[in-house]
Amino acid sequence: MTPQRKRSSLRLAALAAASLLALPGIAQAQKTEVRWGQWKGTEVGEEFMAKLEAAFEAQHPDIDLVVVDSPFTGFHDRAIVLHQAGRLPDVLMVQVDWVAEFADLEIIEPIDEQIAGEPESFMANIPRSFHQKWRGKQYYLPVESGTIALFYNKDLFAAAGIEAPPATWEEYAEVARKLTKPAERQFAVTGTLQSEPPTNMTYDIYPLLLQAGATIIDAATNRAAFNSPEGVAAIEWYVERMNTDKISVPGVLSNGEREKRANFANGSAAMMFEGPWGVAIQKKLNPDLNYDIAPLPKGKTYGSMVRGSLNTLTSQAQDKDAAWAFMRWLSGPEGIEMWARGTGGFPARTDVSSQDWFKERKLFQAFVTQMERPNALSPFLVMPNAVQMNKILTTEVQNVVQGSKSAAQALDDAAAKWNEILAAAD
Amino acid sequence: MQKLRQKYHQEILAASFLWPSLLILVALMVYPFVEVLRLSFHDSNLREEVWVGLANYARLAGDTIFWQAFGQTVVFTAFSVVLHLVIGLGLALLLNMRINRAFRSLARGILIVPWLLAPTVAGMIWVLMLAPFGVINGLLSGLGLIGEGTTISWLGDPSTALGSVTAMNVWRAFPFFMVMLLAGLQAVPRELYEAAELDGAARMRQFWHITLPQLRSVITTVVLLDSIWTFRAFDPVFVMTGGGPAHSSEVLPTVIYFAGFQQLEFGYASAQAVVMFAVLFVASAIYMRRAMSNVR
Repeated sequence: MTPQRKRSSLRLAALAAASLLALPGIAQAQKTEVRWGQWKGTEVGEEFMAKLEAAFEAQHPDIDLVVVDSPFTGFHDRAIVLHQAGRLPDVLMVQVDWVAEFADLEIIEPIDEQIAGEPESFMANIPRSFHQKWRGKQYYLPVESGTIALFYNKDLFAAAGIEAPPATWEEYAEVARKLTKPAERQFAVTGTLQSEPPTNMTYDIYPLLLQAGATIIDAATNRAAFNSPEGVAAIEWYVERMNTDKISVPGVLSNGEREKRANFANGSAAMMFEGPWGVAIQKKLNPDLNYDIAPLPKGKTYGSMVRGSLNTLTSQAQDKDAAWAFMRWLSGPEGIEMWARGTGGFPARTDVSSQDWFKERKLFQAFVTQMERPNALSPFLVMPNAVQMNKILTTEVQNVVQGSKSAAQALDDAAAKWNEILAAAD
Repeated sequence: MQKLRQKYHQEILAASFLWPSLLILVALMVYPFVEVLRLSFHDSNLREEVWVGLANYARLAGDTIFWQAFGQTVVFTAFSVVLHLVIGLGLALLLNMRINRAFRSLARGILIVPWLLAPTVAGMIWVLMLAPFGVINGLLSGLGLIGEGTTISWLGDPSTALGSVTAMNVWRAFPFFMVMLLAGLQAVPRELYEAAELDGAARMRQFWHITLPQLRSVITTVVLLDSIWTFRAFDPVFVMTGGGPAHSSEVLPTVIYFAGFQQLEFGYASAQAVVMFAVLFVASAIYMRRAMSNVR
């Protein structure tokens, strides 16, 4: 072989090798990219996220799912900034409180057309709370859900001679007094009225209002209705527990979810109001904790809040069909089962929560019972700015607890501010 | 033209070196400021903008939470800056004394630690320390200052929340004063003290008539910088109390943040930011004018 021919052969070989190497890249380039912005990565772990991605892509070889993980703190604000910058992901995870707000800001789009193309069973198996529409349109699909229930420490209950969790307000008050032993730094609960983030209304206040027979927003008039005699009675009852019986770990006005979970894990609080996501959190904080979960005590009636992590289709999605393919897969039976099994979350579909493997998860059964009871509601989905409205009510209940306002005055003031927001959104 | 170019050759050369910096300045400072000023005359949720003239400013006048936060910001800033100066100066004087060199180096290293912490981290540490069963209550109880088993909810009580945040802010930022004033002290000529001693001036007299006048320019600078930093400090309050309970520790930066990102009233938040800037600008200008005239 002459040196010239040798060089030509080498060039040809290099070209062939380069073409071979480029092939997967070309195939990759032909795939449609779907970017999923969410905050769950740090909670559920990269390994599970990689499995989820692989499972989806195995069924959708034409789609490249890119999981974009960001911390939950600041996620809401980051979404607004990304929207302004035109850099939103295709699918965006949101909390129930943000749906109406993001819809009005045109960060997310309605998905009614896409849902119409699905079989009836697709939505029929999604809990009814997640059928609530904003301005007559459906904007989201749930990934995980859960209602608030009562976690209780079985050892502390046994030590106080209490055999069963409280089923009514009266029983709750009595049990709470028995469990409160300040000298031993043991309290019944952690009252959580921290100003920021104002999510604590979900656990401490809204369920009580419903249990007292109050309505949060009147559906007919679309105006605040919690400042009724029933609502006032609920707040007075709460304040009596906090200020007179002193059943809470001190610092009611500064305690938040972090303190509540830590106090329950270390035995400083014998009970806590929490969602199913709390099971995984307690496992991390204290895997040896001997506790169980019961439905919330009943007042005049039942009542609890339903929350969840939801997927939405953003207005800046590049390929809406591909984005929808991911949304429907993750909120469909297969995706929800994989999510619930892998993360330990509560399935957002009844055809998954009714499966045998889930029934064996005893700690979660109280949530199933709670979810089926009347007044398991998620009013946040129809609040034009739930974050701000929660903050208003938090501040007013803080005023009652510190004695600067009566319950009636505080609720009237909060209702007036809510009504301004509701009227502006009409 | 050629003559002009020759005449201003040096100036043109200097300007050509300056323009990249000017461009960055315009992009990062002038544009955002003009944009905020423009937004303050609009009702904006970032999706829609409606011209409202001075309506946002008129609304501000009657906004009780804004003025409450304004007062609290002034208190927070005043206490923080004064205590930073007193503690920083005291420690700088101590570290400037003729003490063991190794001890002095160690003390400087340890005392600067709070300044190295991010405000958020420092805030979180103090949240844990100030918890009802935290180390502060334990310490006070151990010293007999509060009854055994007494739990003060420092961050959950409206009467102590702002003071607690101020205490954290004082702790975090005094090392800045200490370091700057120590550098200033070391630049004071020894001859001045020797002459004063020969004249029979006592230590206190030396402090008032030599040390403080010699430090005046350093003090002017650090007080101005610290006032600006503290007046617009967001992290300590947001992390420790979120402005609560019941707005008792609300400061202007948190009010502006909530108006923008929680209430989605970006026009109104911009008006609040403009007022905050104007107050800070005027106060700084007056302070600088008075302080620098004394220096001259």
